[in-house]
Amino acid sequence: MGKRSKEIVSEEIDLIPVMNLSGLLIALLLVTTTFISYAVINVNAPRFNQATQQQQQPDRLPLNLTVLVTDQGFTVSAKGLNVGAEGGGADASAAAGPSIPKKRVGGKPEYDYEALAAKTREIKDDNAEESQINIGAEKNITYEVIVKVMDATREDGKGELFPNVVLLGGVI
Amino acid sequence: MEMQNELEPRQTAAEIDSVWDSKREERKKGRRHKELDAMALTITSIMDMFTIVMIFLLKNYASDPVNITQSDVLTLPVSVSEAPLERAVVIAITTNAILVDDAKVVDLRQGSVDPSNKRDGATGFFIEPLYQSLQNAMQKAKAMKQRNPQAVTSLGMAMVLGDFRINYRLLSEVLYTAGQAEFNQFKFGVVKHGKKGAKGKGG
Repeated sequence: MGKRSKEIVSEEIDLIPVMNLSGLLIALLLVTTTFISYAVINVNAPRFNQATQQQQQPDRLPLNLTVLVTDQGFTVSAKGLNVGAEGGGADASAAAGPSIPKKRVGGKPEYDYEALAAKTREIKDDNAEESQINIGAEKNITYEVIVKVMDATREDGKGELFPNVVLLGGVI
Repeated sequence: MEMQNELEPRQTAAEIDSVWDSKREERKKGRRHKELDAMALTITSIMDMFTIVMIFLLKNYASDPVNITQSDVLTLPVSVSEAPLERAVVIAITTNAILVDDAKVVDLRQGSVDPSNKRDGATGFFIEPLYQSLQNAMQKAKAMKQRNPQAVTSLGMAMVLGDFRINYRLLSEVLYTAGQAEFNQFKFGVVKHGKKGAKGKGG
């Protein structure tokens, strides 16, 4: 009986060192692995000369959709004209104020990304073949706001809006 | 004789006891064996679990072409973009320095480049040390492409990892300088957020 039990014990592989090794490896991998998933936003090189690079067609004006971010809000312009500027209609100048002013959330002014997305959807519905948007900003606007503007104008629930982003080089 | 007769059953009882004892011992041994078997089984299942976890972690570890490490000075903004990461020259703009492929090239003071590091002074966009570094990276990539065209698919592509607090002026300067060093395609690295309406502090 004793002999048989010894034979059985000697047949088993000692897994403790392997377990130790696995434990260490898992700890090391857990420390070095990041569980945050990353993505990229494709952006074309900035245009520093402000000149339009879109192909001019003789019969129709290029859309040249531009969103300028100021600390007042967003100024949207298309076909060289400001869109929906307050009190000024379609041909109001940029000085008249932003097309989409900041909204007050809990007494604090915040950028209205929903309104910007809605405005770009309107423009997209009228210009389905266009996909380029120019984004510019004042020099003190943070990178986070620029990324959120790109998010708001890239796509919405109905589909793609303007995914080809060109950053305007000169700051306002 | 009577004494012997009386003793015999006592001896028998002692014998019976010893037999019982030996049987108990055997049973104990058997139980110990069973316990050992059960231990071995538990280790096997733990081993399986460990192996699965390890494979998962190793796969995660090797999947991203660019290794991004966030810190207090480099916190990427959140975006709903789904475009995957690509291998490219990495320009990291932290709150206190600009780095190219993890090597610091220029320090930042209060979120902007010192005018002495710019070709045209305070109003300029051209950052000299950054240009040198990017041009070196471009030369290397070009040399590699000449020798092995399939190995370099992203010539002229740069991944910009910017802290969410940096301002547009600094971003423009970096992009302008990169443009001068023949980089014309930019990928802004962001933290992926599942659905629209990501939380953020911009406002």
